[in-house]
Amino acid sequence: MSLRVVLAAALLVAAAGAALAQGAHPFGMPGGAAAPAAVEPGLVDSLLAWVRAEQAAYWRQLSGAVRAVGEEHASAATGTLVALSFMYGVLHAVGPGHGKAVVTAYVLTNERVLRRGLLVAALAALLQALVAIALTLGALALIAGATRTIEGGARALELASYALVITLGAVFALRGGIRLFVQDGARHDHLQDHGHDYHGHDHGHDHHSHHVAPAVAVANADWRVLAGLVVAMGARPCSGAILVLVFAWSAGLVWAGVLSALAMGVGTGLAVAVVASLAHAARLPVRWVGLRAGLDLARAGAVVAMLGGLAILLLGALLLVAALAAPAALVPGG
Amino acid sequence: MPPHIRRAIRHGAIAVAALAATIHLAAPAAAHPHVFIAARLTVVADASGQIAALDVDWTFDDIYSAYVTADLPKDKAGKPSAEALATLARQILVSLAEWRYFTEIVRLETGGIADNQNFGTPGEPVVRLDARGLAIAFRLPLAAPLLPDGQRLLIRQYDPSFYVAIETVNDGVGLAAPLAAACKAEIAEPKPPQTAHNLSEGSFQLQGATGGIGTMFASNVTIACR
Repeated sequence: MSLRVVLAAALLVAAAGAALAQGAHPFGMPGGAAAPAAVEPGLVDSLLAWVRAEQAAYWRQLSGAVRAVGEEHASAATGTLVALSFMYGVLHAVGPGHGKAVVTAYVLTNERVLRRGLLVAALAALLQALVAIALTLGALALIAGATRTIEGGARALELASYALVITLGAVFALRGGIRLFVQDGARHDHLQDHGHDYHGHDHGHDHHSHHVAPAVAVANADWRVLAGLVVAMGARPCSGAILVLVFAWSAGLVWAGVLSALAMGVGTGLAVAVVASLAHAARLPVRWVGLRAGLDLARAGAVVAMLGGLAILLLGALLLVAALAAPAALVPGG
Repeated sequence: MPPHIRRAIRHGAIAVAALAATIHLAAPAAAHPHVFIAARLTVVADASGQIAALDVDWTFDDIYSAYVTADLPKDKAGKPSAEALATLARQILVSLAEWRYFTEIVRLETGGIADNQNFGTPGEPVVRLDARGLAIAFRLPLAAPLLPDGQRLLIRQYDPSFYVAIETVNDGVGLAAPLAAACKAEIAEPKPPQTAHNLSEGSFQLQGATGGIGTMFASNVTIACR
């Protein structure tokens, strides 16, 4: 229980941190700009700084790799481009992000959902790459003043994505609340008929066994929530992908940009999947400690589900407010 | 060791890893660089020999250069017109004002910082677009010129959020005529991430400065005058 509370608290901090990091920037890119964080560099900053330095190193090689695809030895150059983009995508996912927060909350607050969490991570990453490709190439092909259109589109998608994050947070919190209420009710009244429309059972408890079979609950998974997760995480295109696509377009090597954007998506999806797996793995020791301590795990799980949902709701609200408050890009095309 | 203890240790390790991952989510510095700038700086004096301005010459990386010029009206050769580029450069400067041109000049004294310099409005920017990318050059005046005598200045250019990575190029710092005789420039390259805990002399978390992850990647340029 205590560790779960710590995780839930960390989630809240993550929410606030990620939200505060949003803001306007003179060279702002769609969805990429962050306001200065007025903090002393700490250990986490140092680690992140190392990651950013690595990421910057990959980024610097990308333009050369795109150009090389158009020159001789295209197949070797293509391999290099894909590898660079993939690594960039992996590192891109290290650090705060609403996608990771949402999927972490999902696997932390719902039982037996790791496989679905991984599927969501993969689909969201694919969606993110496809959105970047469709938006960027569509605008470049069809519209004069394309980058403004791209930024406008990315901003709209960003706002929609945050609205969806709020909705998901509310759904998670509500489900946690229902579980808590139902369990409390069950304690006093064994005869009541439960409405098991939630799928977040906690199977570590042994005080009652009148829940529906877990397989049924899993089969009744709410696919709308999963679709919501995918869209919330993947609707906002990554600015790195947009930049590479515009660069590749201007160099006359569109498909190299498409390849790069897809490889970035694969890398990001993989990294988010690892985060989701770690969050899921964290449940095991918590359960073990909780059982040893004689905690009511079902109740604790419901409380955490509720807190996690509220944290995500708060995160979405902060991100949305920050995004709405941020002035439009200050530099044309930037 | 009994199996349940081993299991507990293993689970504990996983929990720590998960916590570390979660803390990563909470890290305050979200940005990663999408814009790279190769910077050249020249410290210039006014007619009376006082330190009066910083000549800034920034070259943007080729990807951002392609992006930022994608929408500009093009001539028959497919190049953006000089007018369009000039307008772009002026707009960049206008928006940079709010960010203090990503530039920090502080006077150093024994044991610390004397004060942080303010800037006036930069002059008309010079812009060029070639194979290396888009470049803008502008003169950034100090709000109040400084007597060079015995002066020690620390000059850093960085975006606090590290969304823009500014790198001072090799031999990229110069001193204009009267200052070259009396002053010496030194560049201390950033060594992230170790610099976070091992701040070298002349590298400070400045009072009133925005700080942030960007400081870890800033070159520290020290100007010392006799």
